[in-house]
Amino acid sequence: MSERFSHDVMISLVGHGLIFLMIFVRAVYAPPERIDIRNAIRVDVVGLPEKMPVLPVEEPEAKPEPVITKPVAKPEPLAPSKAIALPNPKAKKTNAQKDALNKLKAMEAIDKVKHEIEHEKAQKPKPATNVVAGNQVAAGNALTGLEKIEYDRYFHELETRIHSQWTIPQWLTDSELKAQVLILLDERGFVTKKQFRASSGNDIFDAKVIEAIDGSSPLPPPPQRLRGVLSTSGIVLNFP
Amino acid sequence: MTWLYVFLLGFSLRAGAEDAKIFIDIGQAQVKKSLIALPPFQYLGSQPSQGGHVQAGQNLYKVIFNDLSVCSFFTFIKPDAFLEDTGKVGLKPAPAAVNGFDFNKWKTIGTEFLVRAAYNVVEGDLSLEVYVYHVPTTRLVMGKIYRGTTATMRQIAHTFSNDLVKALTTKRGMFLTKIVASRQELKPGAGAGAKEIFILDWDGANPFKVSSGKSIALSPAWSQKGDKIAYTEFAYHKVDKVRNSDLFIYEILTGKHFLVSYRKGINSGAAFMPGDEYILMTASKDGNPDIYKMSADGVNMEALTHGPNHAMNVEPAISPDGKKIAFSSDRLGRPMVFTMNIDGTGTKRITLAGKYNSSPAWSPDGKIIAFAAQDHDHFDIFSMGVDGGNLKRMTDAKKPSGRAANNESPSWSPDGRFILFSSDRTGNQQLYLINPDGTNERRITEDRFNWEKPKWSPYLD
Repeated sequence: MSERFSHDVMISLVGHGLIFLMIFVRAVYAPPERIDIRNAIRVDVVGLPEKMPVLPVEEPEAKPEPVITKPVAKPEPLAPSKAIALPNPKAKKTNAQKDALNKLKAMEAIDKVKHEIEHEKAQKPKPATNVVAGNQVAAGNALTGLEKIEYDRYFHELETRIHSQWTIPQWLTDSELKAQVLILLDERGFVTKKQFRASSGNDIFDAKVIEAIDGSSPLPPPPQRLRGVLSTSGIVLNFP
Repeated sequence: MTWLYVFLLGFSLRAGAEDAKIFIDIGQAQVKKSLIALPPFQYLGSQPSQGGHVQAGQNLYKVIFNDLSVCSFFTFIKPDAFLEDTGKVGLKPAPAAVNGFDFNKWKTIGTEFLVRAAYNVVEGDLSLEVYVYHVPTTRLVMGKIYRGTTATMRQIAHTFSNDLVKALTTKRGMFLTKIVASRQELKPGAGAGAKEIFILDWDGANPFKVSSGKSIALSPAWSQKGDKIAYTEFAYHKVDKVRNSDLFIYEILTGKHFLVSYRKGINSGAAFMPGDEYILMTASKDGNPDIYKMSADGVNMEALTHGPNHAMNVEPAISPDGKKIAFSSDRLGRPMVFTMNIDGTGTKRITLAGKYNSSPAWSPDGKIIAFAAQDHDHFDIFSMGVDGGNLKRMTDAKKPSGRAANNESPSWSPDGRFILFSSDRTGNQQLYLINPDGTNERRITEDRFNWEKPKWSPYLD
């Protein structure tokens, strides 16, 4: 039994070792393609416009069909609940203090009703994606697309922030120097690590690169789902 | 076995981490001038404080200051802001050097580059010891001792400026280049109105007369090697008893003049082709001014343009790769800039706007053509791509009267960082420089003459 177990463990270890060896060889000899983050183009699928109805001369009052085939659910109005008795301003009051207290209670009641309505709205399922005819933009239902836009916006903010600090001396403008720096960010946007992946070979250019990163830290806090990647794998900044 | 497992696990995790790299291109940097401190040069000799050596030191300083300010890399820190008496501390930093200067005192005032220099004059021999430091890194950028005579003072100064530019940019500086231009005497009296060809330092110093015909000499051009100058002079032909615009070549080393083309009519507008064996020029021997390719000895000639319809084809400018020619022509009505292949085929009009476009000049990288254009009642310098796109106006100066000045005859510096041109903004035509982006305009001649048709030399050092 013991020998059999040891034999199985050995086979398992060798098997795992081979798998990791394959991963290692693949990583070294067939590195993955780099991911270039560029601004996404949001494409909204919209329906073609309806054919404009030909209005009969005899029926001038005929109306064209509505463009929106399925109306979007309207939010409920923030009307005060009937259960709440609003103070009647015409009612005769003898005690001014009592009157003020009643007003305060009424305002609290209105706030409570507003809060309940908002809570109900949040609980309700969102209406299905509308097919919109004509030149109107659909709300869109692809979460990944919206996330992509959010990420793009974030990366664009990073680029803008760092670029605003990115200054080199006039005499280096025609030098065609390039540098690549890996940075790690924490959840507050602070640069926790910066490391040259490729130096320009020019000390002053490299110093200006580091100045640009230091000068722009803290960067905007990363979106929730990017925090893990940015704090472990980081971002590679290409200068220029 | 366990270690192998851990090793492989570590490596595979590392490889996995490499997978998800995100790349952001930051884009081109903003640029700014570096703050430089250029304290007065120390005198190392033992002569009294008065004398020629003082003048030599001041002149050295003046030339270097002008070079470094024109190159547009630096903003100079005013001496009032210095925290150290530069006359009392040495050229090298403390504590390594006894009585050395203190980097911290220069850092405090934001100095990026510090030039520490001293000179000596001994019996006509001049030496300049100079060190340039990058203050933020306390690093020596360059340090040299230059030796010459007091007569070569300007050359020593320009050589230092070139060396500094080379140390910073790894590219050659243009401070030892020269310009050639036609100078007209305006003063009444003997020689009034005559135009002669002069060679000057790039900064307008050391004018040296090339032509001596005491008539009209104009349209000079440098050979590609910088050892010859072609120019046109209205020479008197004794047989025909007329003056004709003949083409001459002046050999700088020997000082000899050669008459290379004296065909009837115009022999002008020369441009040396790469290798200097052939010259492009305008000749009107057959009636119309056309562009010809001529051997440098003037014997063989081949027409590259043929009219048409009594049109003029003038001012040929060869592209740096020797494959294209830009020229001006009025073949379609108003004078415009055209390009054609080196064999005269593939003519293409590249300017469409303006009343009169002329004097095309290729940038050293062959990507931009500068030219003079008249849009209202005056000429200005413009630049455009070689296909005529990206048209930009570079000059818009006015005369003291408020009227627009004429800015003409652009010529590029060999490093492509400056354009030389003539302008009548002060009354008479003087020579000016400007950066290709239209900034950093400055006057380089200040005299009573008219300077016309300037051409910048190739590198001469």
